[in-house]
Amino acid sequence: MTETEYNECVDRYADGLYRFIVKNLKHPEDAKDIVQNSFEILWTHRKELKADKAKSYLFTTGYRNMIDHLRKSSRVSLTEEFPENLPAVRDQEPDLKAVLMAGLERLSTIQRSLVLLKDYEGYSYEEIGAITGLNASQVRVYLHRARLKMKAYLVKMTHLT
Amino acid sequence: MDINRNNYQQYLLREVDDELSAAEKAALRGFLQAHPALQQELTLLRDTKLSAEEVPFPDKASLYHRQIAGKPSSRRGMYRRIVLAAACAAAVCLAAVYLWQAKSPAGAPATSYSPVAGHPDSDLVQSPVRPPQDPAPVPHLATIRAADKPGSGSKQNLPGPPAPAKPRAPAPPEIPTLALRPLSRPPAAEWVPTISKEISREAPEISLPAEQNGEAPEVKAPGVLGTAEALAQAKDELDEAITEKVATVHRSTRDWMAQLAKKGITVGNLTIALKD
Repeated sequence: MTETEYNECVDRYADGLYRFIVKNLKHPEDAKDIVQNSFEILWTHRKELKADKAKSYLFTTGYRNMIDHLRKSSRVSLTEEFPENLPAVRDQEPDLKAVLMAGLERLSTIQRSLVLLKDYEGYSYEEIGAITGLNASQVRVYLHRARLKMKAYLVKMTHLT
Repeated sequence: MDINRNNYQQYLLREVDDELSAAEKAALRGFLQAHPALQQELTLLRDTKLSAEEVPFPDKASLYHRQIAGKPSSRRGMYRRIVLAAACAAAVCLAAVYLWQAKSPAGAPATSYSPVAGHPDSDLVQSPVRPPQDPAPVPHLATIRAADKPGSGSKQNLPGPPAPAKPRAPAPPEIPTLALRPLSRPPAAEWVPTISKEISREAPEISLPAEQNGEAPEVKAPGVLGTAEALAQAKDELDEAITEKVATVHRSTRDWMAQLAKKGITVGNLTIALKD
C-alpha cells in the first residue's frame, strides 16, 4: 500500500471505523484513541498490505483493540447473554430508530459488533468471521440470535406504546 | 431446496442479511406467497436492520501521513520542517546582508573635499587623500575603520572598491588608523604665541557658528534602514560635516592669531600681545 492509498483509506474508512467502535463503547474519547491506534498500525504495516485488504485489516485491528480495551476496563462479558434487566425506553414516544438503538445496547458486545458490521459495513458472514475471529457458521448463528432479540424488543416496545 | 415451517425463519434471517442466493430468494418468495401470514414476520425482521448513520471521526487530520524522502512523517512534522526551513533561510539572508554591509564601508568611495572657492583659507579644507608629505590629513571615517598598523594587511581584511582615482604622487603608504588625527597646521614655531605676563587667564572667546557649538551635525536618516546605500550616504555626510567643522575652527584660530600678532588683543584691563 502506498502513502496515497493509505490516506485514501483514512478518507474512506475512518468514519465507519469510528462509528463501529463508538457504537460499541459509548465512549467517544476511547473510541477515538482506538481508531487512531488502528490507523497507526495500518501505517506501520502498509508495505505488507494491499489496498483492497485495508478495510478489513482496519476493522479487525479496531475490533481487537476494542475487546482488549473492554477487558482491561472490565466492561465486557464475552457471552451471548441478553440482559433483560435494562430499563426499557418508555419515557417518551419511541421512534423506530430509538427503539433499535435501545435494543442494540441490550445485546452483548459480540452480538452488537456482528449487527454493526453487517448492517453498517455490509460485510458477509465470512468477512465478519475474519474480523471477529469466528467462523462463518458462528457468525450466522450469533447474528440471527441478535436479530430475533431485537425483533422481540421491537415488538415489545411497539405494543407498550 | 425445501423451505417449510420448520426452517423458514433461517431463510427469513438470511434474506434480511442479504445472504441468500438467487435460487434461494426465488424459493423464499414462493413460500411466502403460499403463506402470506409470514410476510409480517419478514417485515419485522427487516425493521431490526440498522439504517445508515453518519458518525464522522472528529480528528481525521491527525490520521493522515506524509512521506518525505522515504521517511514517514505526520502533517504536524511537515509543518515543523517548513518553519525550520524558513528560519534557516532568514538566518542565511541576515548573515549575507550583515557581511555585505561589513565590507561596504571600507570599499566605499572616499569623500572628495574641494577647496572652497574664494575663501581665503580655503586651502585649509583639504582632501582626505593627501600626498605622503602631508603629516596629518584630515581624518576620514574610511581610514578610521582601518587597522592600526600600516601594512598590517588590513586591506585584505577590508576589501572593497578602490577610492576614486585622484592624481597624486607616489601611492601613499597605507595609513590605517583607528584614532582621529589632528588637523594639519603649520609648524608650532610659527604660531605658538608667547603671552605676556598680563595675559588674562580667560581664554579669548572664539565664536563659532551655532552648528559648531557641540551640536552634532544633522545626518539624514537613511531612507531604507539598513541598506548599504543609505549607510554610505550617511557616512559621506558625516565626513563632510566633520571636515567642515575642523576647517572652520582652524580658520578662526588663524584669524585670532593674526589679529594677536598685529595689534594684540585686549580683554578688559589686560592686553595680550605676541612677542617677536
